[in-house]
Amino acid sequence: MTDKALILSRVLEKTFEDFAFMFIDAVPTHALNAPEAEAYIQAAITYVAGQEKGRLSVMASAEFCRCLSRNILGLETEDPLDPGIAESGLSELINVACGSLAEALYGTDAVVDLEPPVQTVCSEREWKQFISDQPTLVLLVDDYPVGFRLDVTTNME
Amino acid sequence: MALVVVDIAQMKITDSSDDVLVTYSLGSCVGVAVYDPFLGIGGMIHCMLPLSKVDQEKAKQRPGMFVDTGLSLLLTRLFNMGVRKSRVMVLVAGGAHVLNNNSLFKIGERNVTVLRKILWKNGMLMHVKDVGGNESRTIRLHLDSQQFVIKKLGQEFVYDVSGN
Amino acid sequence: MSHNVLIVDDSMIIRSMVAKTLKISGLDLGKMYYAANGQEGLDTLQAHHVDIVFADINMPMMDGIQMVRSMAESGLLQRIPVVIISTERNQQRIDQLKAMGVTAYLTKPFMPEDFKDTVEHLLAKEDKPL
Repeated sequence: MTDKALILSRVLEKTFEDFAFMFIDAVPTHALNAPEAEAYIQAAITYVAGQEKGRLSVMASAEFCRCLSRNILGLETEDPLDPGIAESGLSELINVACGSLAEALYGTDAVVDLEPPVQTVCSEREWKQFISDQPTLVLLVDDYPVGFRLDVTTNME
Repeated sequence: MALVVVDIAQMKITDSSDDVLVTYSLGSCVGVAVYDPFLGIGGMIHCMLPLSKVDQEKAKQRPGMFVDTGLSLLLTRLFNMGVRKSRVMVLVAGGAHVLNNNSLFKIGERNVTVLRKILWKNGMLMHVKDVGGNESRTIRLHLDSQQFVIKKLGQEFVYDVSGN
Repeated sequence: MSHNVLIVDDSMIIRSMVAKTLKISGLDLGKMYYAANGQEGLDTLQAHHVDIVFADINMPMMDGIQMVRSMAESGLLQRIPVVIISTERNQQRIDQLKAMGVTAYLTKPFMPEDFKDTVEHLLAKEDKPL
């Protein structure tokens, strides 16, 4: 695992615990072959830190997003969710994680500009592609597989 | 003064104004005291592990062993006795890092996380929170003097829980 | 004395989370208003009496800094305390916010106890009963 990937996994672990009271565990292979979900949601956030530009993205099942949002809001499993809240939960998770990641990578003296997160609905094919891509970090969060990816480019000019 | 000892994986509730609830040696375990100063009812629990899903049978026999089942049950029992969220004091200690066993390294932190989750679900805030670090703690809830006391590293830290 | 609050954040879940934290903090709450960006926040402040503003920084259309700047220029910032709740970690930027007149800053994710302490402290400074 690269240094950035290690930092990312530690940031994500802390973010899930502090923000959503959820725990990360190692991913057993069968979790990657989990039954097809009704839908998948991706949320991505870009940042600029000096000469570096980064994009942090997450993809997960819609069911995970509902579970995540219920945890963030302290709701029970059977409590209804307002439309859009599940997607909002995933977007805010990546927003909070990116803020912590920026501090971990660049410190509190650096100026890091974050864009508001963008979310999209994805297909089963896109999910499988995302989690099988080499740079993707797949985590088991409260027994749900969730994929994360950090892409960083450096402006050499 | 009557000392009421709460052992590991136990919970106790009292409404006797002479009582002092106490639990000892909170390492990675979390101790939670809940006190309603208006009714003079206090409860205390000493939980070892965060989530009951690791052993559901044990959780049925000893719900106090796990933070999710134990704290939920303690709160339910207190609410059934008339304790009100709006005036209750929630006092938390423990969740220390236990360094010698890798598999236990995060138990303390996870105990605190699940505890926070249960409180948030119930719309409750902590009034005293002394968690983490490496030191073991002992806690006492004095219903007689309406004080919560944390003992660690040979020192005592006293908190007024009269709600005034 | 009840307090009307305005919560400004493009995140629906954060608006709900801040609202819940306010409700369980034991504060005397009046009306709660919501806005998804700085412009909506300013529009709400023009239309309604608000006692405290909670605002994010990174929002589309108008960010929190522009909103606070506009509040300062119109004199609103002198009478309405603003608490910024954001992922920003740069200390210089946080100090700049406070120099602009922002009353307090909370980092996401915030602990509800810290949120309550911040608001109680703010109201005590304003000499307003809780």
